[in-house]
Parts: sequence; structure tokens; C-alpha cells
Amino acid sequence: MGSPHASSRRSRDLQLSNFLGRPARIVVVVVLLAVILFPLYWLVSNSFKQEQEYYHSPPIMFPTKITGQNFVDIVVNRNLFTGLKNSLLIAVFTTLCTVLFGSLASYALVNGMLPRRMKHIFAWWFLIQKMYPAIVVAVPVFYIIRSLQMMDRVAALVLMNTSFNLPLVILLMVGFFQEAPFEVEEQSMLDGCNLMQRYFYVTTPMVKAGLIATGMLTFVASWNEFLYAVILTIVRAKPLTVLIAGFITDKALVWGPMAAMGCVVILPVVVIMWAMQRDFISGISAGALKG
Amino acid sequence: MLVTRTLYQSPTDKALSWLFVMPVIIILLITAFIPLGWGLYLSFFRYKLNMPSATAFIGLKNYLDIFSDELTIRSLRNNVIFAMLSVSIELLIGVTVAMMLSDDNRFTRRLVSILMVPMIIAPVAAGTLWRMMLDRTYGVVNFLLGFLGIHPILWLGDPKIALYSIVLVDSWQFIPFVAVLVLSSIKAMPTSFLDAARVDGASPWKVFWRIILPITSPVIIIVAMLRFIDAFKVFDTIFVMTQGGPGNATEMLPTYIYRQGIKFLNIGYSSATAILFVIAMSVIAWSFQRLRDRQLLRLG
Amino acid sequence: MKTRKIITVLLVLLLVVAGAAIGQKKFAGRSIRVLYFSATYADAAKEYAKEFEATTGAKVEVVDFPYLTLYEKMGLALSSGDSSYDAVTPACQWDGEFEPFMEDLTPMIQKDKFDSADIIPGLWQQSGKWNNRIMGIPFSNTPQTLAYRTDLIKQMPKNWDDFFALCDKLNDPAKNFYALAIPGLKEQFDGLWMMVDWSIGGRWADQNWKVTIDSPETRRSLDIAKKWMKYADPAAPAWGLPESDAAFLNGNAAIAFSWPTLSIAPNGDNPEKSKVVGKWAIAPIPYEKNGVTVLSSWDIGIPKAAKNKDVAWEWIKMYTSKEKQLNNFLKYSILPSRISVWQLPQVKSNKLYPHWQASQQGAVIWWRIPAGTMAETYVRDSVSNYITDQWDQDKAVKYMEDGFNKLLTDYPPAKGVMNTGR
Repeated sequence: MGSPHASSRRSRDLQLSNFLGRPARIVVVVVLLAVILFPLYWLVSNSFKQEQEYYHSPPIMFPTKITGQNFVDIVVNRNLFTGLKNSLLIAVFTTLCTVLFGSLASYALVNGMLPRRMKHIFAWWFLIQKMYPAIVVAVPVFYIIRSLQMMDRVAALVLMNTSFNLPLVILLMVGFFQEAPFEVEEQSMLDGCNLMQRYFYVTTPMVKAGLIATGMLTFVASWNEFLYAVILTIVRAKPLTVLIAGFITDKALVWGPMAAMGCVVILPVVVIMWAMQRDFISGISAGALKG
Repeated sequence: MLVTRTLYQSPTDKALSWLFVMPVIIILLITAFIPLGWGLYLSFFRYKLNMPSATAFIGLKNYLDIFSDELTIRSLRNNVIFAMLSVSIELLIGVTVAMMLSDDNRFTRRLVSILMVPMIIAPVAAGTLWRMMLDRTYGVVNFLLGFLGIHPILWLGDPKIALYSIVLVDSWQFIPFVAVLVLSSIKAMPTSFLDAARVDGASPWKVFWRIILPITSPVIIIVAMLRFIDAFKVFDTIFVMTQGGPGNATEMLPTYIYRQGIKFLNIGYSSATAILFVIAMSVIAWSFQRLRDRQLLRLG
Repeated sequence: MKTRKIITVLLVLLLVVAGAAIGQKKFAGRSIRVLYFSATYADAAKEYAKEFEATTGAKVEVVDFPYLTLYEKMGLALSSGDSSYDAVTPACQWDGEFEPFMEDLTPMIQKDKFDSADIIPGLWQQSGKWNNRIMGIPFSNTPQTLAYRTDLIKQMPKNWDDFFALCDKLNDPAKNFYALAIPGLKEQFDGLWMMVDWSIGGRWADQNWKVTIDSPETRRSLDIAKKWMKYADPAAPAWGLPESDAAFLNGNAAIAFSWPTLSIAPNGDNPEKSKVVGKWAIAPIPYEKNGVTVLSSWDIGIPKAAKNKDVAWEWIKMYTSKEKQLNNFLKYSILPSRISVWQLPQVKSNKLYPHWQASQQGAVIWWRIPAGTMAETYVRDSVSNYITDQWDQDKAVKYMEDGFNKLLTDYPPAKGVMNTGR
């Protein structure tokens, strides 16, 4: 169809994104943006609406007067700072534990001296754990946490969330450790470094990207966790997800404060993700590609 | 899948290896192995937590009851419909979106970062937000649809529609997930294929259908499997949006297990349901893996 | 000389110690946690917590949950012997279930000479007394009633046929005005059906636990419930109490099926929250055969596993005292459980007074045995499926009947326990 010259071919570049035709692409992109951005706008605008305006039929698209009252309300009446503190503690500590223990275990699995069967058991177990919904072990876990005197403690949720995220972290880190060049490892072994020294000084710096990616995934997952947060907390350790569900009561539905709480739940994760999207994407891609 | 380095290592290393895996083993023991085992044990009993006097060993009766329970069948049916619908929609639209954002320029990169927001939102928050928007009278969705001449729809109260509303919300959250993963896969494709296509002057559609789709199919299959399995774990959204109603129109397996286990404290029965669930899911996952492996072989 | 010195020192020390002891508040340094339903009851408790701390020195932490979650939290905590709560407030329908895990208050009542005679006796039988023990003191007495527009309705009908005739007259969808405001969510709606079934003479089971749900009364009440939806906003099936109460307060409905004490009464005459100020009143449900309606009553008691039972008992006495019940009524629309408070002039002249008449007519609860909650779920699902046309009437009735029979076989009531509910 075209001449064999490279330059003219480059000018008629193959635009994959037009695979359904140019008009279709424009429509899809516009609809996509609208469908994602509008609910977010709705959430934010509702959180600044005054009381008469958020429970109104027909709904008010552009608030006539904005007020910060809803945010004040959730701080004063709804324990926002407690919830924020708890969510933060849970997410941070879960991430630290999961990434630390997970990478240690992955390293040992790849470069250590564990029996072959160990690896099969782990792989088999992680597959099973992916299969069942968390609710399945809720009551036994309740008993165990209670007998460990850990009810309504942030520590209990850190424990559970670590457990939920370990499979993915180990799966990913194993992949990253396998990709790391073995020669460096070999060299340090010949130099007389033992496993721990090699882990801390040699290999870990090489897989930093992996650690960051898995750390981010774990942070988001534990920040958003709901079910066990509801079951294992009473008052002191309630994170934001439980607080926002608490709006659905038999009393009047207060959408203003509810939306404000929603903004607070969503904002930190969005900020982190935007700051580190490349690592985030590489993390979940690695998960699927190696799955 | 795990390649091991077989090189002689000192006994210290052997001890350290075990030390390294110990924390994980302990955590999993406490939070996963023991509870599951306990659940399995309890599934053979009639055991209601607040009626200890009624405890009795009933063998497989719990399992048999499951199959004759009207609600289990309903939950299962709802869950399967939900899974198939949401996975299909998410795949279709997700792949399309991935393709449309496959050019690498500033615009598409910005789009991708916006695209990722729904999937990192807590499902509880997303459910609450959509519940506000889908209200028939006060919700903004019906308001906007009104401009298109569409009558107000009872999204969450009409049993025929409620399930699709949940599909809608789930798709909103996870189409980005599919799109991002497929996009990475497209970007990871060796350029030699595309160059060859350019030389032949093939149309974008042909390239997609003949080259991109087959090559990314292993990833697409895995993504399908992940979404399919997750569809059977949906809980948070339903909890805040419909509580399983109206009637039992949006009752799914996780909410059903929750109802039996936490609400009624029928630990025996809910454990049995859970065990069956795990078995069924494992079979499904195994099938997906086989499909993907076969696809990989075919691609050589 | 020396002995006198020593005695003086000792006396001074004694005085100091005595002074300190008297100055100390009774429970200084202690703290209790109390569990309430997230509504007016918890709000009142939070108000009193500060005062309680000021008088007794004990800190009070009020924990509250919405209805659905409350049952789960309370049930799990009590049945697993958790000592997280020092006082809990079961709903009367959960009494039988939780009684084994609750402390018998009889000794404390006798020791402190609590004025038991002032509590409405019929109420205490249904809410707080079980199995010859006192597991709680009832503090609210709310029969389910209707709220209606006084400017549109002169007199509330006494039977369901008249009721529907009234609806026909008032219903005006073209003007976005509906005869009825109903919460269609299944956990709210089933109670509405129940009260109709009982008020026309139906029962789930007789006193000896023989299941009698399959009856003409059941079928008629199902028809009535279904007919209601024709006169309500099409969005009603997805409404909870907040939405349907809001519809009434916005002036879009003539009659509201609700628990008026939760939202309509506190907000009805507040111009900021209501467009029907001065135009509403409360009435019992249509009498039909016996006017029996559903009782919502909460009692407060002490779990066996609690660690601070003495402080909890002080809290209970305070919360159920005459002064607090009056304050609960005037400020929070919590209906009192004390006869003397019902007879006070401020109460008699209040818009909520018709509730007294309703409770005299009869307000009962369904099964209070452990199987009761599961039985209610059968009713809940069945009625909801029938109203939304997913099941036909035969299937709905059979589902409830089969469910009840299975429950009574698997989880039979304890020996000697009769069905005092319906």
C-alpha cells in the first residue's frame, strides 16, 4: 500500500487507539472522564453543601452557598481524628509488617535453604487464601483475638490485615527476587556473608522498586478494609471505613457529613497513588503477569 | 514456577532461612490455618453460639441442608449472575479503554492517573456514594437521566434492577483495574510485532484483533480470573447499599455467610457453607490457570 | 508526754484520711462502658454521662450502633463471655436469647428498694423479665403508631377498609402527594405487616408453640400490606425510616407508617426541619379486631461477664429514674416506662400521648426465644419477596411456615416457656 521509504511510513503511524475508529475513541474517552469525575465532584460538592440543600428533590447540582460545617461536624461529633489516627496506624504498621515479613520470607524461599516442599505448601496455601472471602473465618478469628486480649486494639487489625496481604506481597517479592541478578548474590556468598547480611546489604537494595510497589498496594488495601474493622472494634480502634458505614442508621440520613467523611477516606489514598503511580502500576501488573 | 538456587550454603544460612519464614508462618497459623481448621471441624456440628445446649454432632447434615436451603440457592444464583455480568462488562470495556489509551503521550498518561481513582476508593465509600446518587427521588443519576427523557428508575428498590445496580457500581470501580493491567501488557509487548504490522499497512482494528488480543490473552485470562473470584467475595458494597434486599434480590454468598455466622451465630452451618465455597472457588481458579497455561503454550 | 504526742499524730492522720475519703467520689477512677441503640436513647445517655461522672466520679463511655449491627455486636459479645460492656440495652425481642448471659437484677432491686411498682407491669413482663429472672429494667415503651396530617384527616379510621377508602380520597400522585409514607426496606417493613396480622387476630404460633401462621388473617394482612404500596411514593420500596419520615415532614404524605418518636416527633414542629409544623398528630393503628400493635421496648441490664457491676447498677438506677424519664420524654421523645411519669401533666398534654392509648390497646412483641431472631428473618424475607412480586402468596406463607417449624425443631424453647408474644 505504501512506498518502501521509512519516512513516509512514519508519518502514517499506526494509531492503535483508533482501533474502533476515531469518533468512537472520542466518545469513549469523554464518557469515561465524565463517569469517573462526576461522582467525585458530587462527593466533594455534597460535603460542602448546607443541610437544606443536600436532601433536596430535585438534587442541587451547584451549591448556592458552601459551608465547612460538615467537616466541623465530623470532627466534633463523629470522632474523625480518632478514625483518621486509627486508619493511619493500621495502614502504616500493616505495610511495615507485611513488607518486612513478606520480603524476608520471599527471600528465604528464593535464596535460602528451605526444603522444596515448603515452597509448594506456601504456593498452595496462598492460592487457597485467595479463594475464600474473609467472612469465612470471622467467628473463629473473633474468639482468637478475644483470647489474646486484643479486642478493640489497632494491633488486632494490623495482624489481620498483614495476614490478608502477605500472599500477594510474597508472590510479588518472589518474582522480584528471582529477577535480581544472581551473580551479585553469589559473589557476596563467596565473600562470606550469611543470609541475613546478604538480605540487608546486598539484595534488598536491588529490589527497592518491588518493595515500594508492594508497600503501596498493602497500604491501600489495609486503609480500605472494612469487614474485620467492623467485627473487631468497639470504640477506640475504629478506623474511617467503620465510621463512614456508621452513617447508615435508622435516624435521618445526613448526607453532608457522610460525604465529608467520604472525602477524608478517599483523599489520602488518592494523593499517595498520584504521587507514586508508576510504582503502583508496576506492582499490580507484576501481580497479574506473574500470577 | 519457583526456580531455586542450589548452591551450598552454611548451616547458619539454613537456620536463618527458617528464621526468615517464621513470622509469616506464625501469623498465618493464628489468622488463617487455625481458624479454617476450626471452621472445618465445626461444620460437622449444629452449633449456635448463643444456644450452647442445642449443640450436636450432625455429620454432613449441614452440607445437605445447604443444598435444600432456598436462600443458598438464591444467593448462589445471584452471585453467579453478578460475577458473569460484571466480569464481561469489565473485560469488554476495560480492554477497549486500554486500547484507547495505548498511545504514550501526556494526555493519555493524565487520563490513566484519573482512571485509577475509582479502584483505590474504599468499597464502603464507593457504595455509600453511589447509594446517594442512585436514590430514586433525591439521587442525581435519575435527575440527569431525566434530561434524556428517561423516567426515574428505582435502582435499589426494584428487585429486577437492584442486582444490576450493584453490577454497575462494581464495574465503575474495577473497569480501571482491568484497563490498567491490560494496558501494561500492551506496553510490554515487543515492538517487533507492531513494526511488522506497520510495514504491512494493516488497519488498527486488524492489528488489535490479530496481534494484540492473542498476545495479551494470558493476562486477560488472569485478570478475568481475579475479577471472577473477587465477584464472589463482594460484601462491603452490598452491606451499605442494599443489605441483600429487596427481598433477597441482592443476597450474595458472602452476605449470606455473614448473616448465618455473625447474625444468627449459626457457626456450624456458616462454616459448612464457607468450606463448600472454598472448594468451589479452588476448582474455578484451577480451570482458569489451565486455560491460561494452554494459551501460553499456544503462543509458544 | 510521748503517748500524747503519738495519739495526737494518729488522730490527725485519721482526720486527714477520713476527710480524703469523704471528699472522694464514690466511684472515682472507675469507668464503665454502656451499649445503646444509635438513636435518641444513646443521645440521652451521652448527655447524662457527664453528670454521672460529676456525681460519682466514674467515667462513662457510651457506645452505640444502628439496629442491625447492634444485635450482632451485643449477641457476639454476650454469648462469648466478653467483658467489654458493663451495661447493655437489649431490645425486648432479644430477651430470651440474652438472658442466660445476663445478671439477675432481683437482689440489687431488693437491696436498694427500687420502686418496681412504678414500672408498667405488662411492659416488664414483655421486656426485662424472663424465665423468672429480672434481666433488665425497661426504659422505653414504644408501641408502633401512625403519624397523620390533622389538616387533611379529621378522624383516623378504625378498620382497614375505611383506611383504604381514606387513602383513595387523599392519594394524588400527579401533585407528588401520596396517601402513605412507608419505609419499604425489609427490616422496617416486616414490623408493619406484623402489626396488621396481629391486630386482625392472626398469630405466628399459639401459646404452646404450635405454628399457626397459615391462616386467613395472614393472607388478608399480606394483601393489605401489598395494597399499601399502591398509595406510596414509587421509591418507597427502597426507603428506610429516614427517607419515609422525611417524605412526611416535607409534606408529601398524609399518613406515615413509622416509629414517630425517632424522627417525626422530635422534628415535626421545628420549622427548619419540617414543612408540616402544627399540622400533624399521632394515632394508634386501626383497631379492627383488637388493635394490637408491635412493641418496641428496650431494657437495660448487666452482663454476667461485666467487671464493674456496682457502677453499672448506679447508672441503671439513674437512667431509669423518674427525673431522667421525664427529661427523656420532653427532650428526646423517649416514651417512659413508669406509670407515674405518664400521668404527669406535661406528658398528658404532649402530642405523643396517644402512645399511651396504643399501649393500653395492646402492644406485643414476637417470639422472645433464641429462635426468635431467625424467625423474624423468615418473616422479613418472605414479606419482602411477596410485596415485590418475587413470590406469590402461597409460597410466602409456606416459606414462613416451614421456616418456623424447622426452627422450633432445631432450637426448641426451654421447657415450660410459653409463647407470650404472638
